[in-house]
Amino acid sequence: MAPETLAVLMFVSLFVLVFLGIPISFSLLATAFVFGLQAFGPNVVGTQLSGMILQTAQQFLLSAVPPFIIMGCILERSGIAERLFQTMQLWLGRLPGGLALATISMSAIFAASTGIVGAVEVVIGVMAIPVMLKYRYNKDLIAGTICAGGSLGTMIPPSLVAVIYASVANMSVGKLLAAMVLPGLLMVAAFLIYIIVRCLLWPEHGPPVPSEQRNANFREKLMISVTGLVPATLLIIAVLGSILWGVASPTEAASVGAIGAVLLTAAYGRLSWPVITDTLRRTILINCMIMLIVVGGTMFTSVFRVLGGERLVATVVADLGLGKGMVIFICLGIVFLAGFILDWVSIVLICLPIFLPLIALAKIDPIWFAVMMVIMIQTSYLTPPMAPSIFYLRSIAPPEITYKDMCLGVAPYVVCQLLTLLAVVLFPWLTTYLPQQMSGF
Amino acid sequence: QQQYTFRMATIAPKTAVYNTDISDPFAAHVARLTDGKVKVEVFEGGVLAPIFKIYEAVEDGRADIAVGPPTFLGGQDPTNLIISSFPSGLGVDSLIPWLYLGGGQQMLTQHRREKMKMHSLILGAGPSEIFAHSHKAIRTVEDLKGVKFRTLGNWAAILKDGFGAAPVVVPGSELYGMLEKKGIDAMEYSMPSENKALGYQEVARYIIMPGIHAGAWSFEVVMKMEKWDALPKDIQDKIAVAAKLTTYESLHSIVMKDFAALEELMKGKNEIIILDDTFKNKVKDASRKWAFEAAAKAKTEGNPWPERVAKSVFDFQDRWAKLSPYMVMDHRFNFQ
Amino acid sequence: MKSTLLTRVLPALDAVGYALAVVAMAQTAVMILIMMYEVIVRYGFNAPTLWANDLTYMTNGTLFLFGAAWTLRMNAHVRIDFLSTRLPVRLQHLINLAFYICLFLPLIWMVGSSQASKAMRAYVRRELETMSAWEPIVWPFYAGITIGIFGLGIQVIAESIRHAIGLADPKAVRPPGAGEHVQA
Ligand code: NA
Ligand code: NA
Repeated sequence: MAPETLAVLMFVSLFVLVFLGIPISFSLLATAFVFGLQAFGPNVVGTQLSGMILQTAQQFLLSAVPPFIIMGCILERSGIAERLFQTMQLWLGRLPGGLALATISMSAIFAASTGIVGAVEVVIGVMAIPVMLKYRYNKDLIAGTICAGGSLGTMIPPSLVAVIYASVANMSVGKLLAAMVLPGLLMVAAFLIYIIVRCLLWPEHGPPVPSEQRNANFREKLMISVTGLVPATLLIIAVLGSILWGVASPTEAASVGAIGAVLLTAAYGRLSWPVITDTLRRTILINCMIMLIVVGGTMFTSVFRVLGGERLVATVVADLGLGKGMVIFICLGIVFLAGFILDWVSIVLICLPIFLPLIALAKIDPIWFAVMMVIMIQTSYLTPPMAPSIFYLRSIAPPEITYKDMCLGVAPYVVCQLLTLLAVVLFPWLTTYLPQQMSGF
Repeated sequence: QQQYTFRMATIAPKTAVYNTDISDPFAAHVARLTDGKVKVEVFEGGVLAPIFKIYEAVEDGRADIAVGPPTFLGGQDPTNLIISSFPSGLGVDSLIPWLYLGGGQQMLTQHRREKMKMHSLILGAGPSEIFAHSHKAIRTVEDLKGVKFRTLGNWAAILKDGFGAAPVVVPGSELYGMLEKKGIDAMEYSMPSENKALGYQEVARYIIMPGIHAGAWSFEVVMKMEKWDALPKDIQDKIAVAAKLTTYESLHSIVMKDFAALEELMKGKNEIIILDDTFKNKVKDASRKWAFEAAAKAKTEGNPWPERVAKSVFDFQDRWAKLSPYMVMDHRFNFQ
Repeated sequence: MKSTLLTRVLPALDAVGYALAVVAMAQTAVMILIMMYEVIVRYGFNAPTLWANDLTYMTNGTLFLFGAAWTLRMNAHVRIDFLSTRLPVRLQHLINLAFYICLFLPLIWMVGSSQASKAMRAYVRRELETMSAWEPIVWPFYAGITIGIFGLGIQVIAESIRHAIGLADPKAVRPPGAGEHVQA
């Protein structure tokens, strides 16, 4: 059989396993194994795959994952996230869909202190889901809001996606992060507008919160806000501040944040042995789940490329004509489609090496293109079946929120992301303005 | 007529010079010279093996051949740290003459066959790296004291033990941010073309040259000895010619890329510092001291190779320096 | 037979996975402290270490495998089960059992034994971590990865036994995909 046919069959096999209910990570691993046997033979396949485990295990950047999860878990226990959410609720509760607005705002704040999707989503999900359910929010609105809020984790700097992208594309991470700020804020705005419009049209989808809290007097409001905002602000200062002042690298900053969260919890008198062990237990479960998907994705990608999958994609792109607009459209279209079935690491690893020469040839600004790619990659978190945001949500959501709710709920947010992308396509200055303002030295 | 297809493991993305200027042209030359009988399939870094494990990949059979720097084999056998590039080692002018006429390739091949059961050919060479992008002006070796300097390997050891610098370990992807936010004072990464693409000049005032810690470098291509020895003689010869041709070409094509980058860099607002002879000589003394100490230690452990290679490199370098005044060089010592 | 499996064998196999997970929890805490230490000595005392970076990735690179077995036991490896849960429970057990026996255990065995021989070779040759200024020996890292892979293998055997029991008597074990809810 031609290697390219095998490359296509890899995806078919992956889907069969995934839809038979086999864990995603195991499906990736097993598919890589079976097709790896084809590519390498029985004597070498074990070494090849264990090499890919080693490759993942050696990535220093991934050591940011457990501390970011710890930070999220412990924040929930400390009551800090709860207070922040209360504050957001207090100020935004009057508006249609107020709780959803509060959730997105809070996600944006959290996203500014962490670089991964899972941590943001899990923290806000655990707090916001019960409250929104209590006030009878529409279930697909709840599910979509949590998933979309989570996806901000890598859209608003710091961002693991940007770091990996920049290292593959040989470009400046700092510039890319700066270029993402305005589009990131635009995406937040698009999410908020969607919620408001939807809840204006159908008020029963996001009813207002009851009056006792809304009618609190100004003094009380101020107190709640201060106690709600100060700890979260301290934590953002600890994480972003330690990066901005050159105290820690973005990876180390995750640990600074985790320790900061522990100290804050202690300051609130909520730190206890059960809290610590429970946090560590949950961290292990979530971290192992994420990392095994990364390992599976790395193996899958490596076998896919050895079988010539890359050549396949390159041929398809080359056959379709090379105008500047067309190149952008096709590249982003491929990423959008790939996002349904691949995780973002695989997308970056498979697509970028094929796209970069095309981009250079068509004289497209690499930073502008990178931001468009990063936005398109955000949709991959939300588009099922391979939708990490939905996986995280499923690990924390009560059973009454169904998979169908989740898939329905994310669709409008994907549209918001695509509109943000359109804005960036039409107004490239959104990505070039801030990097030009960077002082340098 | 038998056909051969070799899977080649490399260390870098498709777009990096290590592939565009070394692996890809080599594959093309091999195909052309053998009339398509030998096909080299180039795989990007990380596909066939983690990039630092390309030698292992050849040993295990995941890859038929691998291209990379001997330094990836590490300091266990210091030969690997001295043979392809070394702080204060051979320069852009003397590297290729040493490799092909001074015994470099011969020793490399012999060492690989004896110690690793692999056949090796020099494949690819490149020019000087940038000494440092720095927030601190480094003009004398005293300026190195206490400088948080990102680097790797034996250069880290020399900077620390010889000059009291504080070497920092920072992964490549976090370098820009750490330099920008002054988490580190100075860093070295690669050649002007690579560094400029990554934008380090945007975040640190001083660019310090020349890169005496890596004055010039070479890569090798390795294959299992039994596999190589089983190839027909004419195929072996053609592959060797392809490798040598690629080595000559790559050194100069990378220089051209660096020139283009330097022209841009000099238009910017960075301050360029050119290291003087006093600095260079002190670094040379410290580096050679490190090499001979490592070689002496290896010798007591029954490994004569590091001493042999170090002596060959340093003798050739001294002889080149001594006799080169007769040559007309278009080289200048600063950018004025 | 069935009750011996359910009351003796399976708990023993599960205990291995949990013990590894406890190690992983300790590693997580240690890793964060190492990174914090490096930040403090580098920023506060201008005295960066050469080892923190290596130790950090080695810790992180083994802990996710140490925890993989228990994560399987807790059913925290994410599945898309909206289609599969509509199948008869016996068939679901059969699918999982077949997957584990035909694909996953051979995979674990081949990858694990290859990693084990790498660890062994690294031990015999006293291999060092090459791209590092510290140059630590690598066999403990490789051995950790090996232990994690085989630990997962043991849990897969336990789950296979559960699915086999479920195939015979669906009421004796929980249905595939059901488990603890991870709350983070
Ligand atoms: Na973020
Ligand atoms: Na997706």
